[in-house]
Amino acid sequence: MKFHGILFPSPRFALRREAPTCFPDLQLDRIVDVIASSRPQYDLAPFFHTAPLDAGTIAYRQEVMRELARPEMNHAVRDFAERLGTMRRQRALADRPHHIHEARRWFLASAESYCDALETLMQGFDACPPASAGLAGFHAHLRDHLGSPAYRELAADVKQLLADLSGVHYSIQITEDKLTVRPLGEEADFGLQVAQCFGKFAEDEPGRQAGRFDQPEAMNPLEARILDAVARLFPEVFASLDRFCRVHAGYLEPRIAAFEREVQFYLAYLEFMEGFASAGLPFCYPQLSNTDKHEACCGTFDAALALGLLAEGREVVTNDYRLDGSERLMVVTGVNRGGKTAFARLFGQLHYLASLGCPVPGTSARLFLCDHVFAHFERAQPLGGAQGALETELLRLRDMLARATPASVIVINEMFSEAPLEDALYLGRRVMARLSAFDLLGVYVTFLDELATFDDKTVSLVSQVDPEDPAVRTFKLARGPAAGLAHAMGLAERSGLTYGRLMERIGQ
Amino acid sequence: MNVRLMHPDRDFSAGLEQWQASTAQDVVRDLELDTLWRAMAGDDAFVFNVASRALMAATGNDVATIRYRQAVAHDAIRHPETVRQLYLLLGATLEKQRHGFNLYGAEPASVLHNATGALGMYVEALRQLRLVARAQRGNVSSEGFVRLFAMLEKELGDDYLDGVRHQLDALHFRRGMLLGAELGAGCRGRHYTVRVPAAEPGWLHYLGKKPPSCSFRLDERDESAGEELARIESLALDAVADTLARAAARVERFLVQLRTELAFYLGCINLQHRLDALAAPVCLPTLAPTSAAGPNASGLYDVSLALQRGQLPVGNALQAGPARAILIGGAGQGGKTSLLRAIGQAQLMMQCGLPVAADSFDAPPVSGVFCHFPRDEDRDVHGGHFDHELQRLNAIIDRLQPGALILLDESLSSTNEREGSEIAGQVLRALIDSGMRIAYVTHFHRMVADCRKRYGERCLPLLTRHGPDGAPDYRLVAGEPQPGGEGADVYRKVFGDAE
Repeated sequence: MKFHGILFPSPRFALRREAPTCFPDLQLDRIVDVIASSRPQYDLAPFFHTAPLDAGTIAYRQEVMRELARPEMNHAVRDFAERLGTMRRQRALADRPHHIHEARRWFLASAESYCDALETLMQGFDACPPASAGLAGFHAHLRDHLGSPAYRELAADVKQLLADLSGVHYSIQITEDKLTVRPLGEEADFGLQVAQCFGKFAEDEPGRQAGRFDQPEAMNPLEARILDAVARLFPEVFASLDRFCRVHAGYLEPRIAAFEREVQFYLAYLEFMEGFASAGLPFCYPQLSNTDKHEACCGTFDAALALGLLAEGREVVTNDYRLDGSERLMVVTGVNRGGKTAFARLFGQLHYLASLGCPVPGTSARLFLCDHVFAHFERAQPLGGAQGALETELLRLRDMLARATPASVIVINEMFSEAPLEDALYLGRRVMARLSAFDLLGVYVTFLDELATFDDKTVSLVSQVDPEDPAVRTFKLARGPAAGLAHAMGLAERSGLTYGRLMERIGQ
Repeated sequence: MNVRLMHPDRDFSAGLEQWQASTAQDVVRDLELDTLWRAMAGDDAFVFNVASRALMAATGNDVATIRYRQAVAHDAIRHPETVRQLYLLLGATLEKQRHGFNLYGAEPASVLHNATGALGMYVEALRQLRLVARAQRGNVSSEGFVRLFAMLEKELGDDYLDGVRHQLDALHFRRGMLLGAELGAGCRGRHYTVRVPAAEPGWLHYLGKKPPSCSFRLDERDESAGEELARIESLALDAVADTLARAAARVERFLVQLRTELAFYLGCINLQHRLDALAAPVCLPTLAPTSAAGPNASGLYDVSLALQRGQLPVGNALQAGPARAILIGGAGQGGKTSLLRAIGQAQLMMQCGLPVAADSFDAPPVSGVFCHFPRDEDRDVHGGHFDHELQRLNAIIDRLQPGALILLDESLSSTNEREGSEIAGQVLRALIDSGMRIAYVTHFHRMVADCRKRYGERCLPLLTRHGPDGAPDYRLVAGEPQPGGEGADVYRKVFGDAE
């Protein structure tokens, strides 16, 4: 099978520039930003926006990712990318307005870096042949390219031209205000003469600190005049240089250029994971199924939240969950700021990242391969909007459900909290009915405890507190009946704010 | 290029670190070495400095070095004018350099300029050194001078020096500079080197084809071009400047070192002349094997006393034989402390390679010299005079190495005789048993007697001698001190013959 690309084995998928709408709510925008901004020159974000992929592509990517996680392969490919990076910098120098020969020389340097990068990678691959379909495909492609007449001519021309240029030795005679440039003949090295004469004295003596000679950035007019003179004295060499730049203007093979960019997707993600691994928070390659909605995840966490916590040196709490039998929707209730929203987000992140073919947070994961991740998070309502707040919310929900299929995943974080309780409960039950009808997998975070026992597809999860001290949250979620008001009452008792206690205290 | 006039295998390098210890400062003070050094130096502070460093490092010299130096000193003393001439030449050259140039600017061009100037002066000095060497070659016999002169002759021949002068002249680039270069990144010049212009083209050149060339002129008002040109020249000159700076530094080091070592021998010469003027004997000492005891000397005198008084003090004969401990006793001002000093001075001078103030002196080398002489502070210190004495003694003990020489003058007498004698006895026995050499001025007669009994020949008691009128003779003879014989005499003197 002919190699198409390291990210997409076939031309099926068009790259999506804009982020999916669920990104902000799930904080996937933050995750992608962190990953992409580690190497902004490659513009990796669109790759992260193009999902979901089919099972074949996902398997393709997972295989490549695993292979690139191995040190020798990782090192060889990184090295390759660096050399191509050098090539690009040199090309950029060639494109800046410069003395014509200076620009051409940079172009030649970029071609040299290109050949160097390809040949070094080839050696690395030959020594340690890749096994994944993706990298093995690229290996074969590279071999074909290196054997092609066009490349062979390029490499030979580069070598020849470099040799010719390094053979250009010239002399500058400086007499008062006149400079005379000539090809260098047999004139002896004065420094050598001096060294021979004073050598016996200079031997063991430590040298003085070598002068700092920073080359000024731009070529000075004087250097330019000297270079013009040199070019006139060595016309054949400079003509060759000119010809080279014309003939080989398009030396960069497109698939290789594409590989250079696309492989950074893997390298960047691997680096991203490494940051968590060193804090004891591993990622894993998820098992995916198109048909089976039974799921199980261990040791998983909200990656965006974890980034912030780790930066502050705080602990990251992981969670597990299962969905067996007819279970589809997890209704999450419990104390405020107890990790419910984080759980909702991580559910969305897991499914999205898995559909990109990437490893996901956790020690093990078995997931359903969804066709879309929908997120509906509570929005701050503008005051005095034309439509009522409730209506706006429902409209959003309707649009979302219109696009959903039974293969979608939904994450809802608080709905109808502005509404009166009876309305919220009514609407909530209607929404649950629709979700159940679609057999959707999802998480629904709500203050409406009654929804936690809606039907047999509903699982009730509650955010836990420390049994010794109810004011302390553990950030773990566990199955169990919604706690209702019990928690709030407990807190009130302890703080002396129950009715009974208040009556005692106030009368005093 | 090494000097090696003071050691056969290296240049002299002892610094001032040996002055740090209080024990060293005691030695300088108690043996009155300042006087000796002033005599060696005249009013030349440099010679003073070298002489003092050499003497303080004396006990670190091995036998080979001592013999080597004695030979060189012998040559120096026979040819004082040569030594003086060389010393003054070096001083003048180095003085000019100090006022003239700074060798370490940042810019290669200025470094080059400075180094070239310095080398020009140094080369001239080297040439004159070599002339002297050639003239005096037949007159020296010590390994040190022979080797030095041969080295100067060999390394600094006329051809070589002419070549150097020629090279230094070329470094002024009076006829412009020729640079070589290559193309680097972006075709900018790199690997700039300075080149030697090909010989001037003869008339044939104008017949044949001229090699291609491309010239242009710089506008003299174009500052940036001027700066750029200077930068390129600097790049080219960098390596050359470096070589020259190193060469200049190396030659300067050589000249400074030569001046230093010659200063020592100049000191030697000065001392010899001062003592000759007093008709004071000076001899070449002989080194006894380390295991031997000693010293054995005749006509030994306190050289600082001689230099201070301007006259020769009475010399002493000393036949220590196998004795490790010399115990000096007797009444009054009989020259005891002087003898102690003379022993210390002679030991140091011998190990320094200097001639010694005696008719003859034979002793083994020691690992260090220590002095424990009376201090006024012993009387003033509140903690107790005796405590202070003990402190100072401890400082010495801490630094003792086997085979050291310790000179004690009435040590431990700032307490009563019974206590002092007891402790002194223990100290003395410990020192003897651990292989030290001791010379001890003491009135503890019982201790001396015990020592004699215990160590027999290894202990030599000496006594001052007095004439019938009580005046001291200053010659000490073998004999044990009598227990308090003075008391009865004094009583009799004061009270007449009443019991």
